[in-house]
Amino acid sequence: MADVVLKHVEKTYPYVEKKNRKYKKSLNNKAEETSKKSNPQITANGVLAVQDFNIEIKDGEFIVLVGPSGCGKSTTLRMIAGLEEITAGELFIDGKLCNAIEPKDRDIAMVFQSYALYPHMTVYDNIAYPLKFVKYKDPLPDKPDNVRHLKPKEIEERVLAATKLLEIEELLDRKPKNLSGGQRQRVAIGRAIVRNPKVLLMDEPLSNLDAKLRNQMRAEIINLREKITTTFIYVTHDQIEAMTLGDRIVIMKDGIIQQIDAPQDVYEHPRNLFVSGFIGSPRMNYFDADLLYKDGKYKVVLENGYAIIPCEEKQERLRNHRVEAQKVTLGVRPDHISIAEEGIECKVHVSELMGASSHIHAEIIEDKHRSSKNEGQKDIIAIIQNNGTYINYVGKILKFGFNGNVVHLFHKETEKNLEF
Amino acid sequence: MNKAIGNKVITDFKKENRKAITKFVILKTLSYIFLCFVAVMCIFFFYLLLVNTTKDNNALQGGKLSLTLSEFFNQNLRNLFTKFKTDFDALKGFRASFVIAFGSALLTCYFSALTAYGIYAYDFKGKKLMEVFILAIMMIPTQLASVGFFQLASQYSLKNRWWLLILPSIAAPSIFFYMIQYLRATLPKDLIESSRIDGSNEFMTFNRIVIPIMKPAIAVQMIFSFVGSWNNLYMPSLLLSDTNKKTLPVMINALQHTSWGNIDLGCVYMAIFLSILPVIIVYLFLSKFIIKGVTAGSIKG
Repeated sequence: MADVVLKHVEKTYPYVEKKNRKYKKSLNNKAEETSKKSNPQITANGVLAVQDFNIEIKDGEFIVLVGPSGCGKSTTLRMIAGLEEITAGELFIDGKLCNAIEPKDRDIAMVFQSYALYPHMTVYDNIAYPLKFVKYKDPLPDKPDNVRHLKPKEIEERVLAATKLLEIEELLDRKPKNLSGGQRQRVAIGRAIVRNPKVLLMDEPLSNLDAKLRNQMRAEIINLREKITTTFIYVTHDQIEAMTLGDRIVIMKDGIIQQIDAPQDVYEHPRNLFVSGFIGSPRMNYFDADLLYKDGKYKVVLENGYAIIPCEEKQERLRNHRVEAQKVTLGVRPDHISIAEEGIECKVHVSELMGASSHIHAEIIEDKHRSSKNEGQKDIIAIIQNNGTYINYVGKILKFGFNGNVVHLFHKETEKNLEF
Repeated sequence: MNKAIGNKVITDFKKENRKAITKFVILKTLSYIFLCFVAVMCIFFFYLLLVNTTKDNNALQGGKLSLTLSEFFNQNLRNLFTKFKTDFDALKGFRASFVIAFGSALLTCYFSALTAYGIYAYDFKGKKLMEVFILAIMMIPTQLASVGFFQLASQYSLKNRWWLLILPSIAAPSIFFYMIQYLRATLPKDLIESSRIDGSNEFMTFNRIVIPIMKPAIAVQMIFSFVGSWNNLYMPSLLLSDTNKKTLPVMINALQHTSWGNIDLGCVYMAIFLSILPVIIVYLFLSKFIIKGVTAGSIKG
């Protein structure tokens, strides 16, 4: 167990230099082109994979790094593991500056996406492998500083304990090629936990499994977490894994942290438009709207005149930030849309029965409401509770109303949540 | 009516089938004939060697090619061990050949694997250049390098030492090339990283993780370099002049170059026959392993 602190950590991959003039020229053109597109990751020095990463991970905490591919989450994990050099900033594990410490001396363990089991060793040998290098203090009467390796019997005890925990005792004599995906994953986790590392790193450990097994293993990781006390850092691109596993979630985009918060906070109070769209399935709906301020009260008005009054809590936060009346992007989660007498008029063209609820995809009749932030999403998606009877709304014209307590207001340009 | 059409279809089908079968048989026969020819070409020289060991010097000096076995096998064997004892000491020759061949095979494979691993697993400046440089060494013939090497050895009076033949074999660019190709196909970098995180140092990672994974490649290259070194005449004949230290090929060479009246070709063939026996045994027992090693890595398992 240990706390992990990252201070202003940065990772830059320098461009591969080639003496070819043509290549340099094309590189310059490329840099110009991309700077026009204002990609913050491409700079003169190279590609910025991770920028100004700051976090204090507490002892025993479960942190999930999540984001779309190429956002720098795996790079961050590899920097913590010591597999990737840190370009700038400081990394502390258990209070010790670890920038220049080799992976083997960091007392960490890692579960790889590919499992990375040693193919020529049995399951037992795979799990016992890290124990062969463990040294611990065993003071003798004449040598108080005596340090020794584990004895074979101690190794056996610890391997058996780990395999019992993961229920893979019967696989000990098998080679990795004779195991199924789920079993391989368990062995990989066993190898990681057997040493009682200070920090357990997991790099998309479930993404090679099929959907059913993934759910099962996710539940087992939650179980495992209760049984062993160590700091977990988990990388995934799957928001369900992030929401269910993490004590706190770190959402990243283009190498920059977007938000660090508990799963519920991330869902309920997204700090910006990206976070609001990334977390939550189906995706949040966006509309262009006007934020009005009159007599100390804020009001959001859509272009057809449909007005939503945010709840008092939101009103106060907006007042505290002295938010002025302006054009905003209104974000509403599908579960917070209901069929109402007043609202946006839509024509339903798909209705998916999900069991207790149905997902309704409806096209907005008046085009002007649609926000440019919807990125090609033409429909409003609403989740309607069936309450026992499923009504097929396909072809019908409905009015969707929004609950003022749970709408989100984003700045048009900065895309930041106006409440924070 | 329908029945008639049905019958026609069946006869047509039979005809087609017969055609296909004849074509198949002809092709198969041709390919077998070709393969038999190649096999005979390969085995013929060994057979000729065996035939020659059973002939006496006079028959061999006559220069007529005959493929029938004769009855002088035992006599040749006896002569080799009595008459030519000074030139051909089988036990010492075997010992010298074995030590040099095995030693150089072991070192060659281990260090080639180590170099290949170094270039495959680490990122450093000039990595590409280094790989190209090593491969470029392949272009330099051994004979060219041997001139300088021979001079060096005689200047420092290092001749007649086995290690002089073992040590330089460490640098084997062709084996390095095979090893790095094998590594690229079979060793994911995750394994190396995983081992590092598990607490192993770089050397231990190589010995405990990489070497076992490379076993088939190392085995096959060891066999090849063992055989290459076993049959090597050029360098040992330059560096080994002491009869006690000579390898088998050098001894056979000496047999061939004894004074004219003394030469016994039957004994020379017998010595060659004895010297290739271990190699034949190695191939017979390890052929399965060799094939596995050569094709390993082509399919990821």
